[in-house]
Amino acid sequence: MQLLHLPHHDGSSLYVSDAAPALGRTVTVRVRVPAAADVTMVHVRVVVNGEPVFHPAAVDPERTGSTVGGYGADDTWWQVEVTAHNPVTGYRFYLERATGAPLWLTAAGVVDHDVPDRTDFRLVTYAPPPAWMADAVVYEVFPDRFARSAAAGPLDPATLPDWAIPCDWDTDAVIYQGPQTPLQFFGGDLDGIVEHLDHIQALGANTIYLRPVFPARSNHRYNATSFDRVDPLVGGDPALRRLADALHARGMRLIGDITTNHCGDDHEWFQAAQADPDAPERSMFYFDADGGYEAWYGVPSLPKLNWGSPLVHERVGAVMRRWLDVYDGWRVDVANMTGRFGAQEDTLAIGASLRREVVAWAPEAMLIAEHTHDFTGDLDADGWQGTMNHAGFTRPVWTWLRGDGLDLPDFIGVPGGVPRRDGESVVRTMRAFAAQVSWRSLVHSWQLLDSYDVPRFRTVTGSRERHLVGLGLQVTLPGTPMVCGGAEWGLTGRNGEHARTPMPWQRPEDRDDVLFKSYQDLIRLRATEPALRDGGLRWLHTGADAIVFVRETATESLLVAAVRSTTGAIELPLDAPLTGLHDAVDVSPVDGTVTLPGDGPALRVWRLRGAAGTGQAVG
Amino acid sequence: MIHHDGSALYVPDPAPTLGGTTDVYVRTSADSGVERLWVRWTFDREPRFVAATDARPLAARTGERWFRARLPLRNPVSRYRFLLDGAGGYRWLTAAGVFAHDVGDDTDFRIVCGHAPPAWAADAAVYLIFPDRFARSAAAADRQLPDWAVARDWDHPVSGDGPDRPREIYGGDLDGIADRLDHIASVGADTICLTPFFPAPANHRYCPTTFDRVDPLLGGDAALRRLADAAHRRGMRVIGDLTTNHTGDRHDWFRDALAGRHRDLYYFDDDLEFGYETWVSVKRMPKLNWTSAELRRRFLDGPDSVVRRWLEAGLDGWRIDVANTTGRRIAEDNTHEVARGILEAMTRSRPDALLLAENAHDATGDLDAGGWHGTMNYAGFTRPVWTWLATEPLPFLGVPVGVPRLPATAMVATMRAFAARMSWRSLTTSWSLLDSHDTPRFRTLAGGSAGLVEVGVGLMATLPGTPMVYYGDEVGLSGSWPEDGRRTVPWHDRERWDHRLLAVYTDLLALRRKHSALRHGGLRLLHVGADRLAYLRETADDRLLVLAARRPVPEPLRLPGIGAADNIYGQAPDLAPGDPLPGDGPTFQVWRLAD
Repeated sequence: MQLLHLPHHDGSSLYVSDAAPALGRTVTVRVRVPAAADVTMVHVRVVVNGEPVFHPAAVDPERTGSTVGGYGADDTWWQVEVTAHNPVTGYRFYLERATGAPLWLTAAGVVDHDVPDRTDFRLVTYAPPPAWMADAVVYEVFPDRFARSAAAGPLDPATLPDWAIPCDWDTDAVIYQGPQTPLQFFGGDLDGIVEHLDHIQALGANTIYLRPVFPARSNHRYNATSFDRVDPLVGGDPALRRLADALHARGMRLIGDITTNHCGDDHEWFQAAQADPDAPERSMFYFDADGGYEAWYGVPSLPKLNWGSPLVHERVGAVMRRWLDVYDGWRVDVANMTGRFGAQEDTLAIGASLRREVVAWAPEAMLIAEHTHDFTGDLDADGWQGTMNHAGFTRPVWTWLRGDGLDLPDFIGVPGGVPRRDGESVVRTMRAFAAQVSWRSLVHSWQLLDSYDVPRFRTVTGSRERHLVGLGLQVTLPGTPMVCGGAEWGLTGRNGEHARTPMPWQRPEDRDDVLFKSYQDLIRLRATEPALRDGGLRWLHTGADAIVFVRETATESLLVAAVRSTTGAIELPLDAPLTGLHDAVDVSPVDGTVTLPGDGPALRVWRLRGAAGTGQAVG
Repeated sequence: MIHHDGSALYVPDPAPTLGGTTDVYVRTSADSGVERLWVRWTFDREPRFVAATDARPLAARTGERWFRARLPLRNPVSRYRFLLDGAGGYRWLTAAGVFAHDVGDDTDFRIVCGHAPPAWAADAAVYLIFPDRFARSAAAADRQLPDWAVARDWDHPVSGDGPDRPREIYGGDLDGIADRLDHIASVGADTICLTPFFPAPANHRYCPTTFDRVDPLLGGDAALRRLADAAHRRGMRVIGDLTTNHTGDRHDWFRDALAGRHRDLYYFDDDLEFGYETWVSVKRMPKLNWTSAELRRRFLDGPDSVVRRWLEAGLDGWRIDVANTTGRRIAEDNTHEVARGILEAMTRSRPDALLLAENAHDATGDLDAGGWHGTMNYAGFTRPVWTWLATEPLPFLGVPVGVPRLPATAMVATMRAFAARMSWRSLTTSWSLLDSHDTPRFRTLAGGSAGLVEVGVGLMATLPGTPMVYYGDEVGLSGSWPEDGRRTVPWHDRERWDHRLLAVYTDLLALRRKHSALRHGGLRLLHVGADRLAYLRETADDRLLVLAARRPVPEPLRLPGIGAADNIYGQAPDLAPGDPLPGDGPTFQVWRLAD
């Protein structure tokens, strides 16, 4: 499907003059309209206090007739002022045509019939996320499995708590289902991470997302016994301090992992609540008359916190503040359920107040919400600054790039295995979710191919080549890449627990060094190309086996073609030369058309900067 | 065929309760490619799956496979969808249809516990009256008009534009309505919705000077009582129209505020254009401040509050003017909470009162929130029907471009897009209107085509939703824009009535009243093309086939699975199994399936 003839707008700086307007401020928004769209007039519809209001747009004389983003000298640019009247101001465009019905342009694309406001573009006046987030490349670390420091010496079973099953880093297999799964103890620690920062930095990551390190009676530590100290088994408070200092000395950052929905049944809060019905902590949980209590998924070891209790807010807020002398922000576990219980629905208010408290304490701190299905209703509410984008990235990419023989029993919690879908479906899904959040929530969300909670992407794809196509999408689409530690070596795993294989530092033969090199190249590409971090996103072509898009800035664009398996050459009505940038040879237009190679799997990137003399570039 | 909707065929429990469970059914045909099916519901917004089992409800027909799943009702609004697997692949069924890719939760089906619309609302047919123009009682002749008014004879054309537009008074009144209940009932409507009746210096009365009394020009409080009593004696109902977003600038409250008393009822700010906030930019409509405790007290507290006293005086509910912006201003967004407060107050006076929100664009985010029972469904009914049937590109409520002409596929896409974002009960309680005092008349939009108007009325009477007839449409009133359409009904000159059109309204609303399938049945689309569509409305024992076409379509339309059927509206032949549907148009036909 060709999309290059369609009018375009997105929330990037090329189209919106101010990404973080103050309430009441006016912003200029622009629409790029190809000549083929036959548009004669553009209006913007802004919803003010719940009431739609239309304003006429005018042709932008500066951009019209120029190449913008390196192409499109024939395009007409329309511009109009929009006031950010409400904290989240929705807007869309209405385009009159010379022939045919007018079109709506919303974040979901162009339609000829009325659609609800849900996919309107959004201006958001809430305080923006810290600037560093947009340039972050995140690396997820599971402390027990990443590395054991030299100073810790060999694992001594005698020093382990009673619940732990000591395991050998090199020879013991991960048991990925059954009662022993959370008890296997490989002995990774925080100083072990410090010792391997060169590896993480060489990869190109600049932010570590550290899974929980509070003491707990499990290797995953989501059932914390306390939020007041770091587990001595990973080195205690001083080790976390050392890790943070080492990262900060390199200009890198550290993100912690907090469970706001529940804690462990061994947690001091719950212990106090359970021991004494009159304890103040009793209000922090949902106890019934018989002493039973609400727990996450009914798992008794994970009692759910009751955010109706001011004490929960006070204590969790205090925890989130106090660790910000080491952490640069938090990833919030099960954010989707936090504050939701039957008729109780306080999630947005909790997110907003936690964010304000956290930012008042540490202005550069960030909050990312875990959400494995539809996160859209929980963003743009002055709380979570982004999400882990399973729904709008991970899932569609998996369905496109899954291997032929894949036999996983479910699809990240959805029964029935990972379905196979074509490129149109993939883009439709990505757009369906992206259209329901602001641009800024999209770009600050984490794009992940996998994590320690799901099967490894390498297992899903079954091939290095398709893995690389996924990686290419991860670094070239809007969003913050999050690499699950070990993905860069092509580690495999059939579920989240299986993905927690110890890093094979000691076994070079278990590491896909070719893949590692490609990770370096692609992450560096993202780091060095502003268009990949700040550029707009325009879908150009979707086919079953190929997806093509551009990331645009004012002066140039990068054109990305992802091919999952060899297909026909891809023709685009684009009258601009393409300069190969990644795995691509230069392409010259012939009669206003460029032809991209269709062989794959491949991820190719070209630079699009217009031909000399076709018009002035607009900065 | 893979189908589920919120009707009793698929959700039998009429009053699901929070904390309980309810059964949901999915109907499939043999060729659907569905072999396994799960319901996905969200527990405190975390998705969970329950495998469905085979079921054989009474409504199941030969060759169909039905599935049943038990859905826990954990949250006040339970959102659910179905995951399908089998030869047809992995797909989702949501209220927006079947998708072979992931979609967001906003089109999940919804079951809402509590705050149900009154039982009578689903069977109602509404008749919207602009009181100054509907009918004069004998007493009207003796009334002294205020200074601002320009007196008009009943037959004087409405000026429609210019300075006299809001000042023309034709003298219609509430007793005039009471005198014409026979007519309204004969059309088939049973619920009268009045545009505002409070005193105001304009004929539309959206800028009231008080909420304390009925405008003497309309007959005063006693006339409202008489109208309500007369309506109730016939089993009819009367709904009022309340401006909760603003008052007039000559309202008692606003004058007090200007004088320094209770300024918190409004938003005074010297930086604003008029020194205070208004509705859009209308100086004479100062916006009310719902963060004011005093405002809430006046509207909601006690039997003498604005919301309650007129229910005590006989009203059966409120239509809330510009409900979409009530309680919204800059960073304030209290609309849902205000709606809940209004409903709670209403319920204290009248447990079966109806609360309906005006919303001219997208109400979906404001429904199913414990407040508004439904909306005037401009977005999900009026506009899409216009795009299919209107021949004149007339404007719609502030949209700067005339309504385009689109295929039925686009009409249905829009209807589904909105319907999919509200519960079935909100959809069926919302008003399906072809036009109103805020739009051109539908007859004019349809270029005067009797056939196209009939198709529009047919859609209104047979699609899910409560029909709302704008007074005078049934006798053929015209109008190219809102004020132009606020014409008087020529009671004294019935030669000017379109009697054929009157029969169309009467017959179609009677059909709806006779067939519970049209009021309570599920909706299954069978065919949607550019110029015609066909659908089923069905309950377990009443199955109606509807065909609507805007022009002749010569290609024969044969619908698989449709057997013999008796024509019950439109005079097309009865259908024998395998017969194609007639290809003429414009046409509107209804058949009752024999088995």
